[in-house]
Order: sequence, then C-alpha cells, then structure tokens
Amino acid sequence: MRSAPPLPRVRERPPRLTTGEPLVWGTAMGLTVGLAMILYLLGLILVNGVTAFWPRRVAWLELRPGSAARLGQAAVLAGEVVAEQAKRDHLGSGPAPQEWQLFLGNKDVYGQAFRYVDAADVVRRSYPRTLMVIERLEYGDAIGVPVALEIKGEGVLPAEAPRFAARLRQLVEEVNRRRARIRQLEKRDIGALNARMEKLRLRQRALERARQAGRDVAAAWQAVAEEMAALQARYEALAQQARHLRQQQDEHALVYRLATGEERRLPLGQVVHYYYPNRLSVWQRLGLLARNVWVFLSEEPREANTEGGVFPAIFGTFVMTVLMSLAVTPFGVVAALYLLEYARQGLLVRLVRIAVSNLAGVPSIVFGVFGLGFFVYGVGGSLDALFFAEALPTPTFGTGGILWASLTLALMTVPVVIVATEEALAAVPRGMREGSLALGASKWQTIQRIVLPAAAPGILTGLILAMARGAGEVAPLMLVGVVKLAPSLPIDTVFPFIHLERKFMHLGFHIYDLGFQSPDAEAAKPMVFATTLLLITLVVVLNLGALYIREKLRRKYATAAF
Amino acid sequence: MAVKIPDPILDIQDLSLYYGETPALRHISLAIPRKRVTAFIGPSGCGKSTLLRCFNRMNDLIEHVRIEGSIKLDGEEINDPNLDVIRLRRRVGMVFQKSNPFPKSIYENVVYGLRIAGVRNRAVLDEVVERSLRAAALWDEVKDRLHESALRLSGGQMQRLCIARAIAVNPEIILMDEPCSALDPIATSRIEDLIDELKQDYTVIIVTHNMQQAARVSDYTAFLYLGELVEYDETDKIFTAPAQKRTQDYITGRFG
Repeated sequence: MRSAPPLPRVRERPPRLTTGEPLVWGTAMGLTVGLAMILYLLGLILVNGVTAFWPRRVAWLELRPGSAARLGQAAVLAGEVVAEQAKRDHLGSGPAPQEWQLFLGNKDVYGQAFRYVDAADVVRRSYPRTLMVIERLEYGDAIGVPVALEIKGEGVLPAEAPRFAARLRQLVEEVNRRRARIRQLEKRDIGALNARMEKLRLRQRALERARQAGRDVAAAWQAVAEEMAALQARYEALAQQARHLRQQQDEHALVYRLATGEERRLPLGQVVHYYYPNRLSVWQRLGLLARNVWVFLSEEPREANTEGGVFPAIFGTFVMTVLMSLAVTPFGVVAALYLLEYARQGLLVRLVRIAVSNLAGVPSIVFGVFGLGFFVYGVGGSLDALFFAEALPTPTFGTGGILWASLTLALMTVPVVIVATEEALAAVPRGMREGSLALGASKWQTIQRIVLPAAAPGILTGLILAMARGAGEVAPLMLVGVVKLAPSLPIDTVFPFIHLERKFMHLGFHIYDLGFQSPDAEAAKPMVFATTLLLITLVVVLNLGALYIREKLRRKYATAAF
Repeated sequence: MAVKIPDPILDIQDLSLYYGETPALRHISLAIPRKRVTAFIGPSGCGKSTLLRCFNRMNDLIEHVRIEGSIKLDGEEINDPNLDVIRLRRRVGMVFQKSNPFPKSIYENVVYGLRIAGVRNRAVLDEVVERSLRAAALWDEVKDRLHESALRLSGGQMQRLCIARAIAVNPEIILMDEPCSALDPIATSRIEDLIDELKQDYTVIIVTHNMQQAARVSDYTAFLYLGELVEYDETDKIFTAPAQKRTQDYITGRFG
C-alpha cells in the first residue's frame, strides 16, 4: 500500500469572512431596522389613537391686546391645548417662537374649531373650574361657562343655584332616554313598517302589470290596498308619536357664555353629554376616556363621520371579512385539490400555477373593476332581471353591495389560499395516504378523511394571510359597495335578517374618507388615528382567532410519528 | 422451481415490472401458499417491496409504471384494468415499513376500514375493535384508552395497531413490508409471535432484510436478486441446503 499524500494543513482560525459572522450581523441589523419601523408605526398610531379620547383640561387664555389670534373684540380664548410646537412659517434667525394649537369648539359661532396662538401673545393662562364642555348632536363640542337652565313650566334656574347641577344631570338623562326611544321608533319600528310597505308596493306593481296583461286582479288588488291602508295608519301613529317626542326634546334649554362674552341658548335636545374638564380627578378622567372609547366603538357616526362612533364600519369590515373567508376557503381549497391531486402534472398545470401566482400581484383596483363589471353588472344585473324585476329600474343586486365586495376580495386573495393549500397538501406524509388507500379507501375518501384534516393547519395559514390582506384593502371596495355612510347594517332584525345586497361601511374606507374627504381635516385627525388603531386591532383579532383554531387543529392532527 | 404448492392463494406467472424503461422485476413466477407465512428476502433494491406492492396494486399510485404478466388471486386476475381495486385492497391488507397510524384515536384507527365501507353500527364497530386489537396482541395495553390519540403509542404498539387496522377489514392476505425494521428487538419479537398466530387465519407475505427473522417466522422463502427470483422453496431448505450458489452466498453474508 502506498501512503496517501499529506493533506494541506488547515489554519487554526479561518478568516472571518469565510465563517460568515459579518453576515449574521447583517441579518440581525435588517431585522432590527424592520422591527424598529414597525414598532414606531404602531406606537404612533397607539399614542395618537388613545389620546384622541383623553379628556383634556380647558385653558382660559388672556391675550395681549392686538394679538392676531383674537376673536372679535375679546382678548380671551378658552380651549384645549392640543399641541405646542415651533412656528412653521418662521423666517427670521434665532430659535423659532412657540405656538399653541387650541381646540376652541363652538364651530357654530367661530366658524372653525381650531386656532393657532403665539405663545408670546398669551398674557395669562388659567383653568377655571366653571368651564364646561358640551358634546352636541351638531357642530361638535361647545365650550363655555353655564349661565342658566330654562325649564319649561318652571322658569329660569341660574347656574349658581344649588339645585342646578342635579337638575341639569336629570334633564340631560331624560333627553338622552327620549332620544334613544325616538331612534328605536324611527329605525326599528318605522323601518320594519317601511320594509313591509315596500314589499306591498312591489306587489302592487306586479298586479298592475298582470292587469295590463288582461287578467282579473281586482280581488288581490283590493286585499293589497286594504293591507296598505292598515300599514299606513300604523305608520301615521308611529310618526305622530316620534314627532311628539321630538317636540318634547326642545322644551328646555341650557344657556352658556362663551369666552368672548357672548351668551348662547342651546335646546337640551342637542346635548349628548357634558362635563367640567377642570374639575375631573384622574379616575374621573379615565372613566370619561372609557366612555369615549365605548361611544366610539358602539355608536353611529355623526357630522360627516367626524363625531360619534364607527360601529357600522367595524361591523361592515367584520362581516365582509367573514363572508370573504367563507367564500375564499372552499374555492381555494377545491382549486388546490384539483391542481395537486387530480390534474395530470404537466405543462398546463405548470402554466396554471404560474398564472395563479401572478394573480396575487395584480393591483387590487383591477380586481375592483373586474368585480364591478362581472359581479355587480353581470351577475347582479342578471339576478335583478330574474328575481327582482318588479323593483327595476331600481337595482337590488345590480349595484355595489357587501356580497359583491366580499366575492371580489375573495377573488383577489384566492391565490394565497391556493398556494398555501397546495403546500399543505403536499406536506401530508405519503405513508398516511398509502395507509388509507391500502385499507380500501377511494382517493376521495382518503383526501376527505386523512389528507384534508392533516393539511388543515396549513390551509388556515393561507386563510390568515388572505384575511390580513383582504381586511385592510380599500381600493377595490370603493367600486363594489363601500359607502361613506350606510343607512343600515348588513345584518339586522328585519326579515330576512342578512341583507347581502346592502351597501356597507368599512374601516379602511372610513380612514380614507376622514383623512382626505372630511370638511374639517383638523377635527378628523384624531379619528383617523383611532380608526387606524381599530382596523389594526380588528385584523389582529381576526388573525388571533384563526391562529387559535390552527393551534387546536395542529394539536389534534399532530403527525408526530413522521 | 422445485417446490410444489397445492391450491395457492396467489399465482404469479411471468411477472415483469418497469419503472419507465428500467426493469424492476423480471419474469417472476411463484405461487403463494394459503395460510402460511411467505418471506421475501434479498439485498436492497432487489425488487421485493415492489413485488409485494403488486399484490394490492399499490404501484398504481406511482406514475410511469408498466406491469406485464399475470397475478391471480384465487383465480381472479389482479392486473385486470377493470378490477375493483377497492375490493382487492380489502382482500389484501398491508402493513408498511414505517408505522403509519392516522392522527386519530386508537379506536378510529382500527375502524377506519369499516367506516369507509359504510359500517355505522356501533355494536359491530366495538366488537371489531376488540377482536382486531386482541388478534394484534394490543388489547390489554390499550383497552382503557381507546379514545386517546394513536400517536401517543410507542413504536411497537403503533405497528401492532397498524396490523390490527389491517385485520379489522378481515382480509385474506396480509402484506408486511419490513414491519420490524424500525423497532427494537423486544418489539420485534412480539410482532414475530403475532405473525405466527396470524397464519392460523390469514396468509401472510413478509418482506424482510433480516434473514434470521425470515428463518424464524416463515414457512416459505423467496430470494430475489436484481429483480429476478433466484430461488423459492421451503424456508428450512433455503437456509440449510440452498440449491443456488447466489442464495448460499447471500444467506451466509458474503454479499448484500
């Protein structure tokens, strides 16, 4: 045996670059930068979103005579100091002077709710305990000092009277109760009546058409007319009741004085809520914060969406995402099943796969246009012609609605589900399929009982990605059913309870609408942040739900043996 | 072939199998005796698993496989394209090299074959579970946790569960593809004892790498080499007085 030539000696410490350590640092840095940006974004949204609801103190500012910030003759302003910042249009040298952004409220009087004041112009700042913030149905908040209550039948109760506070609270509660009652009357009772009358009207039109065709419809016509009359009478009664309640709303009034000295009279029916911002303890402030958040989450928007809550948008986003998931999952899973399990693997299948992947990169607005043309005008138009002909030319399904929006988004996200499902199916161990087949199971039985359950966690991963993409999408929705303000929810108590043809509100669109279409961008800013926070939270909650299900499935179908 | 098998359950005549153009089995003819244990031995890649998988048409799952020749199960041609494969696989059960219990409960694993056949009667299912698990010598170990996941069993228990699952549909033949290759000696010996009992009621065909195992459990042994059947005879004869030099070399460990 010949001895082998000696191996070259290996250096004790290889050079740094070959061990790849600098690259490890590079990857860590990439991750850190990405995380920092995401955390900053989330922090910004969180801070701005939450402070939007924080009840600030209201400052009473006495201005230098001749200040540009004066309102009329008075040199006094009362408002919440929203921001303190360096002046933007400062041209001279030296540090820029400070200016304060004030929320003055009283948009009905001042014309705008926000005002900038040079810090140098403020002579004195104080926080009088008598100042009151009144949240109104219209024109946003009023800020002023209460003067008196005008109570019908009792006369005037001045603010200094000891009974004033209790009386005001009692009357405002009464007003709010009555407002809820009016709302219930108009929305639910009258709404239900309206729905039935609309149906009768459609039947009348159908009968009219039958009569023109030469059939005898007198008896049916008579019945419909009688029913209509009965409904009309009930409608009148309810409307009368609502009118009566409305009149009562404006019986009493609150008189308050603005910082400018002007006195204003506000019918109590306009008051939603009031508080003394400079008297609150920390706990009261937190309580008020909670109340504001609750109002935001549970109520409908007012005042071009800049006041009130966003409940319809939350609900619309939720329903749309759920509908989209319901549509995209079976569609994507079935497509992936055929592609992977049944189709003959060849050039055609490869082309289909490439096409599916490319579909994921098509701009979403293109899907919106497709949805408008195909779902809304095509499918919806045909449905209208077939089943809702009486209502034409008013479209029922032939216009944007939550169903078409969900289906459009489902189409947009289906590539994600297909790809994820294919991977999950391919990852199911071959031994499990063979075990099933060897027991005499057909291919479909094997897929249904063994392969799909084992692939379910992977399929859900695809669905999570699809949901995250779908819930945050805005552009295509604007074409297929989202509106600025929807009069009614897609699911309510009026038969048939689920109204898939209805237009709906969506948090993403709401953000766009508030930020860019609002008449008062300054007033809408906090709402934009709050709504963004909410949208992110909603997506996170939906994802957590899917994650939870996936974990449960994983545990159930854990394939530890392979 | 020297050995004569009266009334064989499987009769294989001139069977050849190709993966694409590559031949994997060449002109194999043999007869499998009823209610006996037959072992296929041979080095890796000799085609013994491929041959086994011909008997329940598992090779159908692989693309570009071409089969020539005939396999008759009780006189019925298995390679007939019109044959009901599902019925065939009920008659010819299979246990795989890697135990492959389904991610379901022990109970559901055993009744899987019945469930897909549409059996719903709870009493029937219960009875089959007990009978099959007893036959697979697993009943006493799992009778108190039938509804726990099968994946929590040990490797040997999983393999016996797979045997019970195969028995549950009451097949005539049980194919075993190296059933002990992933098991420790104790678990292996339990499976071997089990095979010995199974031949009372079933025909067992076992593929094994382990010649001692073939000698211990089988009545007949076939030695395959490079896709050809070299020798097929009673196990005693193969291991004591093989007719072929290649067989002799293999069982004495000179190659393979």
